[in-house]
Amino acid sequence: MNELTELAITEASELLARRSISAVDLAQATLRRIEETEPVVHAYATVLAEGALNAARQADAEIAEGRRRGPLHGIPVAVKDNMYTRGIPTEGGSRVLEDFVPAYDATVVDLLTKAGAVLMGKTVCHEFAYGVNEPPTRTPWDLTCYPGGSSIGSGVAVTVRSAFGALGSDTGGSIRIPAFINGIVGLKPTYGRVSSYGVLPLAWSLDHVGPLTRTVKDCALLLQAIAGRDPNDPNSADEPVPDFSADIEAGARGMRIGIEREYFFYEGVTDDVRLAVERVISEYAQQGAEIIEVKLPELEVTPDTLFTIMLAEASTYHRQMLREHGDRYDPATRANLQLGELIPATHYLSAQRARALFRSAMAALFKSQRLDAMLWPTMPLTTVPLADLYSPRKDGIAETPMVSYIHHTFSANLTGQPAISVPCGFSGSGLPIGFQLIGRPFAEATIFRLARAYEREHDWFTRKPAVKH
Amino acid sequence: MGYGRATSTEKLDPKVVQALAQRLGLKLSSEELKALTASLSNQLAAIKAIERFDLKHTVPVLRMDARWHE
Repeated sequence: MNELTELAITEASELLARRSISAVDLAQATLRRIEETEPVVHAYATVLAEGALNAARQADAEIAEGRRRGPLHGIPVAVKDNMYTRGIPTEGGSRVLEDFVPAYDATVVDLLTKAGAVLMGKTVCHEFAYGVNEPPTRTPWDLTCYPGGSSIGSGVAVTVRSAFGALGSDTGGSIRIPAFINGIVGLKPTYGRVSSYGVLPLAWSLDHVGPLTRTVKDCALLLQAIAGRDPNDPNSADEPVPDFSADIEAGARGMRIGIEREYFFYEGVTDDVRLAVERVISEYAQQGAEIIEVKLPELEVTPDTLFTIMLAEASTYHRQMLREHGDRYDPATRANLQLGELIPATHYLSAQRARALFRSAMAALFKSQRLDAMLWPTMPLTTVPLADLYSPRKDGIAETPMVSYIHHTFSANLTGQPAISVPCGFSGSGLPIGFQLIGRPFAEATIFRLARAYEREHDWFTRKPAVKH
Repeated sequence: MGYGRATSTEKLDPKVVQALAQRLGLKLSSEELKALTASLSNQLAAIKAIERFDLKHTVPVLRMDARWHE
């Protein structure tokens, strides 16, 4: 009964609440889907079949006794393998952590479990979420192409329906890039909105944990379960957590959306991405949103600023491990870690100054233009063959595809603003395209509302790639 | 294999990079030294982009707080 895995979380949740289906049905259908798809896409690092079935049985029993915990109770989910799971291997995609089994759960894993979600397994990620090695995971849209990263297995699992939702982490785009490439929804929440306790760090001041799902409403449900202050995480924010779904159907009318063209619609944006995102902008205007053209020249500093900070912070975290287990790192990760060690402290602090300047400019722009959100393509181009990722672009743009990808995602990590990637079509060659909405800090509800206003007029989220052996 | 955009035509002397790496306790193969010399040359050039705007009155982000204070 694989039709069950076609359900959105919201739909499955209603059926579970009415006891029209059971959590065991859902878990078994998901396990069958994992069996069908894993030989091709390799989204999972660890599958927890027995644990998932036990959790599903417990969910069914509690729901039958009238003790339903909420909308995620009995829903099959997955988490990125950089998140600690008590008694379950957590290797962060690295031989350095081979056979490492944490003694406790990451806060987000604990919260998902408390919400009654059924953990199907741990998803593959790039080594320590750095995004530079080549894991075995493939995107079902084209098995020869870059599947996104570093929350690569989370993106693919949701796409092939081997998880209803998944958690990822995002330091420079690692939730939104796989969301774009795989045609699903991915949210990087506000910095501090979701605890990072028990999540392997890449760069402390840039790391965010967030959900990947098929629909915007599902994304809001997952965020609801994991958001909130965590005393174990010093970067966790003491901000109230609203009901993210309360106004999700309120529409776009009256909302003010900023469009910056010089940087986000530069010559590196391909025609099919440009056209798809221009259509989104027009549609918001038709729905009654105000489209405001804005300028933000400080955007030019974002790629080098973020990369300098990320390199230095990552190398600080890995300093000891690099000396003790240097040969166990992938050569590409090791090269970045070596580079980060040689960045002068003055360059790191200058980058943090540029970041402060950029954050001030962004805040001033939102305030002066009374913006609710900004909108731009999540990435300037669709995915490319893996072999081309670090070669100059074939369309004459003087940068590699990887540099183009992060060109559009780094800024929200620097400011800490919430950013969501939403599917908005396909290229001529059938590859997914998405757009990004960036909101005010802690205003995830606003970008969910806008994202949903677009999504409910389209059926992109129902498109499913064939997975062929 | 990086994400940065900066490039530099002024390449560092590999001997300098090797000496620095050695002082820090990093073991480099000859291929790694060559790659690191090139990537470090580019990375150090990033400071020009980072300092493109006037930072005289800007205090660095020392603890990230996403809120916009009035």
